Amino acid sequence: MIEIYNVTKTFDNIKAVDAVSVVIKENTVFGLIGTNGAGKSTVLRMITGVLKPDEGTIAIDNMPVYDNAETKKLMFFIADEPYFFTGANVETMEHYFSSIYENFNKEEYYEYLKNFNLDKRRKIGTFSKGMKKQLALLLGICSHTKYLLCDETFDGLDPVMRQGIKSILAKEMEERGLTPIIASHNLRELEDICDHVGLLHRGGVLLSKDLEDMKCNIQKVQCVFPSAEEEGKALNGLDILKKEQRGSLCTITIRSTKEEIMARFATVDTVFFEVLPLSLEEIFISETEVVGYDIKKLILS
Amino acid sequence: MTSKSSFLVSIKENNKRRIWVWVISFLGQLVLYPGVLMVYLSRINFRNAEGSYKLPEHYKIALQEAATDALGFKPFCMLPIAALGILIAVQGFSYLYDRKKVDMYHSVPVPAKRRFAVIYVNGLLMYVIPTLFSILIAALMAATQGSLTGRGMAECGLAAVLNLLYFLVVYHTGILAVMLTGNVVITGFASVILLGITYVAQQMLLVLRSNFFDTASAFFKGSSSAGSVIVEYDSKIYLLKVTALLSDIVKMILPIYGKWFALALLFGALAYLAYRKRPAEAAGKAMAFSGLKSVVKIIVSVVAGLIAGWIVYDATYYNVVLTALGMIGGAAFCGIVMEVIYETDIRGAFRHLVSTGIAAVAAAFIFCIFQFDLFGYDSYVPEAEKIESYVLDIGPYQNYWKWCDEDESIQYVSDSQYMQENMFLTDTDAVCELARKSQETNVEDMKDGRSVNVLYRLKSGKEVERIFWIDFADASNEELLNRIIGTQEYRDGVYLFANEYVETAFTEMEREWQVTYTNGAVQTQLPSFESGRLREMWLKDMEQFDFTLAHNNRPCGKLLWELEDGYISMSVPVYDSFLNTLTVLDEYEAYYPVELRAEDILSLEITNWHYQDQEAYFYEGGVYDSRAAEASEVQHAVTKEFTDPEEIAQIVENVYPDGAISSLYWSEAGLLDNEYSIVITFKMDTDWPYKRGYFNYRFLKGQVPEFVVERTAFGEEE
Repeated sequence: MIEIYNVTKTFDNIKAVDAVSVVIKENTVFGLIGTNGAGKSTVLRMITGVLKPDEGTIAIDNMPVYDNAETKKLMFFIADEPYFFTGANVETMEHYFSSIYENFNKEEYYEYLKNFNLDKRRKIGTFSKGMKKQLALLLGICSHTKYLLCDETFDGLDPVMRQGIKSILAKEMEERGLTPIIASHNLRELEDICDHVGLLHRGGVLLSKDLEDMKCNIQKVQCVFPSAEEEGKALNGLDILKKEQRGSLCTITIRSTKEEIMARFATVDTVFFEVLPLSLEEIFISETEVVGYDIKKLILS
Repeated sequence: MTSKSSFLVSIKENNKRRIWVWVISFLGQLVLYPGVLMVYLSRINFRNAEGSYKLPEHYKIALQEAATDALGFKPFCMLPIAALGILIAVQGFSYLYDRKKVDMYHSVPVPAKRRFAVIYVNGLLMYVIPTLFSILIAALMAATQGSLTGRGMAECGLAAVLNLLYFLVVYHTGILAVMLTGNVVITGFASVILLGITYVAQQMLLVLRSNFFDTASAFFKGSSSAGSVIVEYDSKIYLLKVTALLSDIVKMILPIYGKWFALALLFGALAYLAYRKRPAEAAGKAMAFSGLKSVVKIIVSVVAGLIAGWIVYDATYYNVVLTALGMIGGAAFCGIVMEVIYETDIRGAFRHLVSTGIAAVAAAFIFCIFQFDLFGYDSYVPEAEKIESYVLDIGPYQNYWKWCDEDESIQYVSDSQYMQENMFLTDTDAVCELARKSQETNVEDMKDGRSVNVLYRLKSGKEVERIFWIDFADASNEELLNRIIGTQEYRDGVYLFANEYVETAFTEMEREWQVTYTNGAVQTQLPSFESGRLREMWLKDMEQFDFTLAHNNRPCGKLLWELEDGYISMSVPVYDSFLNTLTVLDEYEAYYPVELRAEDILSLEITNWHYQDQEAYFYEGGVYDSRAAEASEVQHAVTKEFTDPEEIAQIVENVYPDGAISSLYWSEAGLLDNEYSIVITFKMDTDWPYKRGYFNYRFLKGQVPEFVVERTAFGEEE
C-alpha cells in the first residue's frame, strides 16, 4: 500500500503539490487525474523517490521511499517522456533493467516484444512516440515490480495497443498482484481501467474515491412526474446533486444506491421513469460541482 | 545487496555509455606518452644523422635524456589532463542536467552511494588505465631504443603520481561543478571559477596591494601560484623538470603530493556531499542549490569588480575616482549578468538587486581598504620583541648558487631564495627604528634614499614582507646600519663567499678555478691553489666591513673566481683596508691600484649624453616614444677626444671603472655620473699589464672637470 500523507512540494516559490494525502491500495488500478500543472507528475516523482517532499511523508508498504533502494525495488516508474540510452535498442534496455531488477523476466519481455511487433534490433531512436511508450510499459511490466507508475503513458497509444496493454495489466494484477498507478490529464483515458481515482487540481486533491463506490452511489434518473406533489414525494429526503428540467422531463443526479432509488420511485406515480448509467465524466462533474469546481474546464476540455 | 548486479556489473553497464570518453582518454594518453617519446627520439636521431653528436656516448645520453623528458615531467600536460578531468566529470554526471534521465536513474533501485561510486570509479579508471597503458607502451619503446634509464623510470613514476593527483583535483572540482549547476554551460563556468577564482582574487589583491601601498613588497615571496592547481602545476612542473637531483625532486614533490591529495580529498568530499544533497529538480537550472545563488553571485561579482577596477586603473593612468567607479560598476555589471544567467532570461537582469548591491558595496569597500589604507598596511612595523629574525635585502647582489654534495654539482639560486635561506638578522630594534624613520620621512626629502626589502620572521611563525626607504646620507642612520650590516649574520646572508660550501666546491670540484684580480683596467691571474687561502683572507678582512667602511670608501679592486668553463663565477670587492687580502695579492704581484696613471694613457674619448635635455623628447602626449628617444640620444650626444697629458691627468683623478670592479652601491660619494661616459685607450709600451681593448670609465659624481663640461656642452659638436 502506498500512503501519501500531507505531502507538499514547492518549485521556485510555486507550490506544485500542496498538502496531498492519498492512500493507494494494493492490487487496484489507481488513476491520478488532473490538468497539466496539477501536480500529477510531481506526485508520481515523489512516490518513486525521485523528488524529496518538502513536507509530509510517503510510505510504500510502510517503508520510506526517498533515497531508499529497497523500497524502489517495489516499483517501476515510466515517466511522461521515458528515457532510453542514446543509440540503444530494445536489447540494450533489457540488459540494463535486467541488471537492476532482480525479477526481470527476459523471456516474457521478448515474447511481448514479438506480440507488439517491436523489432529488437531496431534502434529506439527510430521508434514512434507510441512505440516508445509501449516499450517503456513492457520494460516496466517485465521488471515484475509490485507497483507500476505510469505518467501519461496511455496518451498516444492507439486503441488496439491500449487494449493489449490493459489486458496485460489485468493479467499481471491477477497473477502477481500488480498495482498500476496511472496519471493522466484525460478522464476518458482512465474510465475503463481504473478502480480508484484521485483528482488533483492546483496541487491539491479534490477527491479520491473508489470508482465502483462512486458509480454505485451516484445515479442519474430521468423521469416525468404527473404532478408537483408526486415529484415532491419522490425527491423528498434524497441527496440531489443536480436537477435539470426540459419541459416535463426531469434529469436528476442523486447520491444514492440504485436499489434505494428504485424502491423510492416504486412508491410514487410517474409517467416515465428510468435509471441511467453514469459515465465517469458525469460522476466527476457531479462530484466536483458539489465542491464548487467546473470539472469540464479542468479535465475535459 | 540492493540489487542482483554486482559492483563490477554496474561498472560495465555504466561504461557502455561512456565508450567515447574512453577513446578520447586513450588517444590523449597515447599522444602524451608514446607520441611525445617518438617525437623526442626522432629529434635526437635527426641530430645524430646530422652529426651533432661526436661520440656514441653523447648520442646515447641524448636519447636517455629525451626518454626521461618524454616519460617524466611535461609542462604541456597541464591543459590536456585538466580538460580530461573536466570532460570525464561532466560526462559521467551529466545525466543530472536532464530531467528524463534523472527520472529514470533516480527511480531505479540503485542506492545513490553506489550510483556515485560507479560513475566516479569509472571516471578514475578512464584516466588511470589509458595512462598506465600508454606509459607501458612508451617504456617498452624507450627500452628497445636503449634509452630507458633508472632515472627516467623514477621521474616517470613521480610524474605519474603528480599527474594523477592533479587529475584528481580537477576531476573532483569538475564533479563539484556539475553538482552545483544544472547545465553544461554553467558547469563550464563553475569549473573555471572553482579552479581559478582564488588565484585571480589573490593576484588582483596583490596587484592592488603593490599599486596602492607604498610598503608592499613581493621580493621574497613573489607572486604565489597557490590558489589554482592549474597555475601551480604549470609553475611546479617546470621547476621539477629542471631540477637536477632526484633527491631534490623528491623533496620538492612530496609537499605538492600532500597538498594536492588534501585538495582532492576536500573537493571530493564536497562533491559527494553536494551529490547527496542535490535536488533532482535542479536538472536544467543554472544553479542546483538556490541558497548558493547569492553567495556565488557576490563572490564572482566582487572579483570581477577587482579586475574591472584594475583595468580602469591601468587604462586611465591611475585615476583613483575612475578606478573606484570601475570597481563598483564592474561588480554591479557582473551581478546583473549573473542574474541573467541564473534566470536564463534577459528580463532577469534587475532581479535580486540587493545581492548585486552588496557586491558593488563590497567592491567599493575593498577599494577603500586600499585607497585609504583602512587596516594600516603602510604604517605597519612589528614590535621588535615579536620578531624572531629578519632578512634585509639591502644589496649588493651576487650570483648565488648552491653546492650539491650528492652529485658534486652547482645550482643557481635566486637572490631572494639565498637570502631567505642564509640570512637571520637579530638586531630587531635597529630594523624597526629604520622602518619607522622611513614612515616619518618623505622619500623625496631623502638626500640618498634607498629602498630595501625586509622579511620579518615573527615569533608567531608568520612571515611579513615590506619595503621601506633608508637615507644613506642621513648620519643618524649610520649607527643603525652598522648594527645590521657590520654583523656576521649579514655577511652570512648576503655574501656567498661566507658560505662554507664554497670551500667544499673549491676542494671537491674536479674542474679548475681561475682566480683573477682586477682594478678595472689591469687584470692579473693568481694560482688556482690559492683559491681557498684568498677566500680565507678576504673573509678575515670582511670582519671589519660595515656601513661606515662601505659608505666612505670605494673598492680598490675586485677578486674574481671563475670555473674554467665559465659556468659559474663569484666576485667580491676588495678595499684598501683589506690588508690580509692585499698581502696575498702582493705575494704574486697581482695588486694594482685603482687610480690610473696618466702617463699610460694615449687618449680619452668622453661623451656627454645630455640626458637632462633629452627628457623632453622622451615623452609625447604622456607616452614613451622609443624612436623619438633614440633620435634624441643621437642628436644630443656630444663626444670629444682628449689627448693633452695635462687634461688627461686632471680627468683620471676623477674617474672610476664603470662596473668593472663592483657596484658603488654603498657609497654616496662614490656614485658615478651617468651623464658622461669615458673610453680610455692605453699606450702599448707601459709596464702595467693592461687588458687590451677599450675601457669604460665614468666620472665620480660632481667631479667633472670644468673644461670637459665646456667642451662637451650641447651644440659644441664638431
